[in-house]
Amino acid sequence: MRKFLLSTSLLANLAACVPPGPPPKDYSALNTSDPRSILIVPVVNNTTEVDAADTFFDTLAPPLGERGYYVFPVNLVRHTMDDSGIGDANLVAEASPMRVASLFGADAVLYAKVEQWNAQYILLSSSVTVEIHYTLKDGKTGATLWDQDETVVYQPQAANGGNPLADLIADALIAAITRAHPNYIPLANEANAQAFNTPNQGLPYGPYDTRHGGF
Amino acid sequence: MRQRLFCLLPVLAIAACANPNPPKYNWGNYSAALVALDADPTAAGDYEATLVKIINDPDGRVPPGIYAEYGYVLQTQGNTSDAIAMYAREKSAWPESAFLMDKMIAALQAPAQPKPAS
Repeated sequence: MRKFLLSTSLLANLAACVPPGPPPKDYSALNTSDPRSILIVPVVNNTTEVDAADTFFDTLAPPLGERGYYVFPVNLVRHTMDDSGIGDANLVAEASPMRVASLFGADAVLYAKVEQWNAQYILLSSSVTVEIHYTLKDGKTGATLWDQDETVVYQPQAANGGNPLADLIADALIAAITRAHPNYIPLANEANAQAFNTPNQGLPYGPYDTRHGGF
Repeated sequence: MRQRLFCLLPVLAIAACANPNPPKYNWGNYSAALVALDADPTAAGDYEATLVKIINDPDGRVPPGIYAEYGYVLQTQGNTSDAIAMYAREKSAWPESAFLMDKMIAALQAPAQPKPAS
């Protein structure tokens, strides 16, 4: 019996790790372009949650850097774009990728749009569903090199201290704090990690990783 | 034999789940500091401290962009020579930044350049 349980739990583990996903993406354009550097531009917000887009913009550099690409300095880029009159995310999204890339000498430009933001606050817990669309474009041709739509459901960590009353109070506190001062960084990190790191769907490793071009 | 296979399964499961990538860089609180700067642009002190802490990483795992970010902070403070030094450091660490760093340095070296927007 124990063995049986052990083996089913392992199967469940494996199933959780390797879901039957969509077919591998076509990476031919990306492999041909083989960008070394990625310029992250301000994120477009198509939701009513005012801070969502800026938070995503502020969280994109680390996962892309860890993927092995050179990423441009986020704050410097934001101010330089403001000075060039394209600081607004919607303006950048409409501008030619070649023009934007040429301002910074970037090989590729990463665009992101927050498409859906659905926060639910109930008495003792809260959850946020977010949908974000990522597009990587070639800085020389403007061609789309990669794109990905990602939906994540995020629930702030619930308490589990063993004392039911204390846990209840802690959960209520977390829900209240989340409502008053939402911290979107863990949510954004989760969406970014899923989007970039999923094998055959995400971004292949860049030039600063020994697995350059692979997953 | 079957038992041996069962023994292997957990190893496979762990291998499939475990993140095989230790972080390449020390990002410190970079993202959180940027978010805080969005919320209150006048509170640039925490952002600056975050950058300095990353640059002083004992293992030297300074991520792409960080020297340039610090250079920009120095530039907004009017510290032109140290800003140029940071831009040069970014350029030598990351050749991909050469075009932008040359541009930033040239703008600071040009005489009678209007003060950069902060």
